[in-house]
Amino acid sequence: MGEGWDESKEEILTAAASIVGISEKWVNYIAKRERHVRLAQAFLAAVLVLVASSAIIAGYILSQYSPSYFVEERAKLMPIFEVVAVGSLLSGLGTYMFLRTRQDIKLQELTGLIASMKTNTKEHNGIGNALSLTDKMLSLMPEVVRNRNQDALIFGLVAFILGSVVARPPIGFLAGVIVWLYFRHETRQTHDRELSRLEEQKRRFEERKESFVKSL
Amino acid sequence: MSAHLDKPDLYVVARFLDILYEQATPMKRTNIQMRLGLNYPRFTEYLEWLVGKELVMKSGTVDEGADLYLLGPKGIEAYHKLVDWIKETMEGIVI
Repeated sequence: MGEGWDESKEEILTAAASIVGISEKWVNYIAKRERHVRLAQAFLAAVLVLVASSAIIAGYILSQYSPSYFVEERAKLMPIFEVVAVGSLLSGLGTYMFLRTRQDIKLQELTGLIASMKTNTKEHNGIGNALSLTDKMLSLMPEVVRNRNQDALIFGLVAFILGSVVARPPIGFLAGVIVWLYFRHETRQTHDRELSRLEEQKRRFEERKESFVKSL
Repeated sequence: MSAHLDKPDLYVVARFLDILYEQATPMKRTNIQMRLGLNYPRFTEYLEWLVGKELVMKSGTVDEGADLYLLGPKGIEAYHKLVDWIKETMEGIVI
């Protein structure tokens, strides 16, 4: 093959590298976003276990003894609190691990395709993989946008709890509401537009897949 | 013969073009089939369809009598179109 062929091949390799670059950027974005949400959910799970277990224990103590028991028998209560705290931490960790396994399945395929394309683009093109990558990406993106709607509430709750612990509950409440409103506003402003655009892109992609074959 | 394949799968066509483009020199049909990982009847359907559409050309035989195939100019053009379209689609993803 001549010089023209080399140029053509170079063009294809450049395009394939560009496709890999774009996909990688989006996969990193999705992974980072999911990691933040996962951390927030794990934190909420840990707090929920801590509050619920503490409430059950406190309820039991109050049903058996007077409220002064908490002050008088502080030393006895300490190990119980430690167990509850460790249990909460473990439940948070468990939630994080569980969510990671569940969410990773979706991203694993994309990461695998990108990795295989990255190796491929050095020697050959792997356009079959690129097609598959685009398809999966276009299916995943609307889901990411849809999930952002519920993320606002999660981040708001985390801000509320942290604010309440660091400052006071009213300040925590205020912080929670502000964070929730901020993320909700950010999402609402773009949600419908982004979603319809991505769905339209996916529809067009499917149409072009068919029309491409027909055009051959 | 190309009418044999009613609705060709674009993914298979893309892989077919991929292999032949990458190879750049004539390939034995068994080698193409092995790299594609399709069963023989399915592979033959696709190959005939692609030859019928002039995307793939027969370019002689080797000593053992096996046919050799090469990507035709239409195939190269289609391959470029496919790559450009995928790139364009990926660039269009914005959130």
